[in-house]
Amino acid sequence: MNRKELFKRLQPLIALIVMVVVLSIATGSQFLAVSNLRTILLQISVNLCLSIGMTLVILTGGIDLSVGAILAFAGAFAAGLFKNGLALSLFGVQVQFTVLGAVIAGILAGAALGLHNGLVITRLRLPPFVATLAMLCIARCFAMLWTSGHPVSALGTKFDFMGAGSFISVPMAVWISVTLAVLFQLFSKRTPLGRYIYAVGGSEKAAKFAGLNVNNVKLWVYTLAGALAGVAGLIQTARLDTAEPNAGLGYELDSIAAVVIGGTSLSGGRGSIFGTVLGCLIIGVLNNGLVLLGVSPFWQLGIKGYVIIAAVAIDNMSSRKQE
Amino acid sequence: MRRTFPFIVLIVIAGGILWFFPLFHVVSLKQAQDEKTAATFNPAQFAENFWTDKLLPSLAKAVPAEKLLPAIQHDPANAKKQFAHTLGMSDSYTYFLSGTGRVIAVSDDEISLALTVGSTNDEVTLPTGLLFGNAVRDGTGLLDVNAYPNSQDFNNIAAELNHLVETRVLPGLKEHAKVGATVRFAGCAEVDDESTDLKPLHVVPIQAEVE
Amino acid sequence: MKNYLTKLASTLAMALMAFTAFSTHAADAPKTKIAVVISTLNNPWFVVLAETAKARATELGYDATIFDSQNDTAKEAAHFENLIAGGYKAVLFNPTDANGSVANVLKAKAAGVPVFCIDREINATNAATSQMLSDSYSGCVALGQYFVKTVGTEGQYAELLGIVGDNNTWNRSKGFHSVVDRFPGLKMVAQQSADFDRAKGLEVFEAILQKNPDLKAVFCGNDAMAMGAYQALVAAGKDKQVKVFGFDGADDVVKLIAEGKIAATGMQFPKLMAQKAAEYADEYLKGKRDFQQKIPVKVDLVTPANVGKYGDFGKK
Repeated sequence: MNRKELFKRLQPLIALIVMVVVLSIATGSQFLAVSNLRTILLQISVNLCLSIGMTLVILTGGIDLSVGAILAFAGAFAAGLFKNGLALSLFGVQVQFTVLGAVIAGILAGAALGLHNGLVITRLRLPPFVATLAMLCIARCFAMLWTSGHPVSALGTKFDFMGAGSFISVPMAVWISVTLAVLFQLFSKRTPLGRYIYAVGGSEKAAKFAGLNVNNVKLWVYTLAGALAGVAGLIQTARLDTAEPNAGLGYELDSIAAVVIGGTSLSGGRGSIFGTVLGCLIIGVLNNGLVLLGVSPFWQLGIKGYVIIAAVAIDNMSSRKQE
Repeated sequence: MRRTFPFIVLIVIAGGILWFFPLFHVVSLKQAQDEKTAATFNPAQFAENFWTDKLLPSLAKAVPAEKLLPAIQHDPANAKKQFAHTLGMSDSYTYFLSGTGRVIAVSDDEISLALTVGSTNDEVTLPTGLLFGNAVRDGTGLLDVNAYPNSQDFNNIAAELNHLVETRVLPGLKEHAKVGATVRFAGCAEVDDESTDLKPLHVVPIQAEVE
Repeated sequence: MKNYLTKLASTLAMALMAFTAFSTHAADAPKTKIAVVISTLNNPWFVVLAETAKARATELGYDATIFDSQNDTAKEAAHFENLIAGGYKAVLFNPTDANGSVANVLKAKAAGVPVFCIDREINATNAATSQMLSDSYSGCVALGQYFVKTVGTEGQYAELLGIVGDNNTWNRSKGFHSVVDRFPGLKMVAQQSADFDRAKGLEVFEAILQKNPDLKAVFCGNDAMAMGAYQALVAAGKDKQVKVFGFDGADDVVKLIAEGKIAATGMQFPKLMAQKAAEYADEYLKGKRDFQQKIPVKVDLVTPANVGKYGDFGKK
């Protein structure tokens, strides 16, 4: 990796460091308090899980607009199975799920919906935008039907441990999201499938020419994104002790923002999970800092918009320089 | 055989793990439903127990009508402060009173009584139609709204208490109370706000005996 | 490379200037900070609640900030975490979910920040310092009794529900039905959710009106939907045939009641509750600790007979 590429990779890190320094000066001890930093990491954990999946999808040149809705359904599905069980009146039994059972069910539900996305894209040849836009409505519908529109709450401390518990004073949600980030970073750079993802994003035709099964790669990517959205849904449900059928509204936009700020190109083939982690941190630090500074919530949205523009503009400028 | 052997080992290990860390339990549907009903608040049962254990014994503490009604006429604001219960922030309040009266009029949904003890000018009415509202629940001051995390439970209690009055007290009253009969009653009267006419008070009877 | 570096540096410099600009704004007089966390600012009733709370808190000498949870328990959780870290000393709280918001209040309690719930309750009596709740159920019982009185004991009616996941929706519906269902002659021919939204209320009710031309009345879970239903009736020329019942006490509906165009509504007292909550927070911060946990606030029935007493989200 030459110096230019290294610098480009580190852009988000530099931006993050600058923000941290400015905020520490502006708010004094409030920003740098351990409890506050812990809060930031906790708050980005859901977005981080979503963004890992979104990175993989965007690396193949696609997009996934349904992650927020899948998050809601997976969380509601797991919470419902755990709290109410599954009544099979045909056999006269009630299947009561344990935490582990509910968690696995939630992740599988997310993976199933992700697989649905992948199949619509590869078999029906629909553009990812359209396929995942449809899934956004479908998953939301499933979430509403499953919960009859009511939130599923009061899940108990065993379930909530995933979101609210800590291990050696680091919150479980942070452990889960960071571990997944590390695993998927290694996955994307060191395994064959990971490299295929980059190849497909770089040029689908060339990848096909080289003998890659592009459809399989895409199926994997959307299924993984769905499964990760499921994990995000579980973390959120555990953190809040409630699964709402209208959770996750607009979350796909935040995760796309994180991916883009982190330096991944929307046309595919360039970027990394590491960059996405930085993107999530930048958004998290920004949100937290603006609140500590007492900035109106209406302004916060606008500032986030401009940060996205700035990030992509700088990214474009540097790649144009390279050409 | 060589290829399937590791597969079998994997399944055995997975089975072992699932034994100690199960994914789900299967219980009979009936057992699950019984557990569920045992855990939820049962307003009908609560109202029944409250009626027998707390409400009926408290009737002795009701303010005698011959004391209350003159006090209201003389100084309604003072009477309210001294004798009435108010729930939370509200202009409404409820009285808990008892008395004896002679039936002077019977209509479809209420009975008018002229009090026979004390001043015979005073009248009260006892509703005999469908009952709504929180008079019985709030009038005695025996129930504390703070004890119910879910206010829907508190509201259901009012509905159940009204139902008990409708089924236990009103049928006997409607059947036996004819003009001229004497009725001994104890109950709660709700007053909406300061513009409500305080004469006559509408008393929801917790107990009504026709002689 | 140099050109690129200057571009990067200038963008970051702009960000730095923006931050310092905002930070000087925040570094004014260090008044005690109170947070007003409201479930949504998308509904004018809640805007009145939030702004009255903020105004009263400011009057009492505090620095009050409004946080909008956008009906999302997750955003609400983020607000609570941020305000605890940001040194806010009290929270005037309008919860998004009776069960889901309990965790947030407990977090604040653990950090020593008192929480005063306004208008909506949380299903716990050991978390908030005090809860000022509209007695929606009883208000709708009174409304239901008036409904039977004005519509009669026979006829078809429709119901527009609010947000299905909201406790208030069901409190109001149950209160209404606890009365009206006792009269078998009154038949509910349609029950649809319009999400407490005026535009959706119009749409949904137009469809109901099409299907049920002999409708006599409609009960709407809030005044925004009642206005939507009323406008649908005016457009269809049926505003004299169908009686509209709302709930909230919004100004526009109160005016129409005075003109005899809408039958009735329930006046919630957002200003009273918001002001009381701010005052309670003030008392707490001055040392008072014994507060009633639940304080139901009566909802007054507003009809053409007594509408003169009401206006501007409260009693005149």
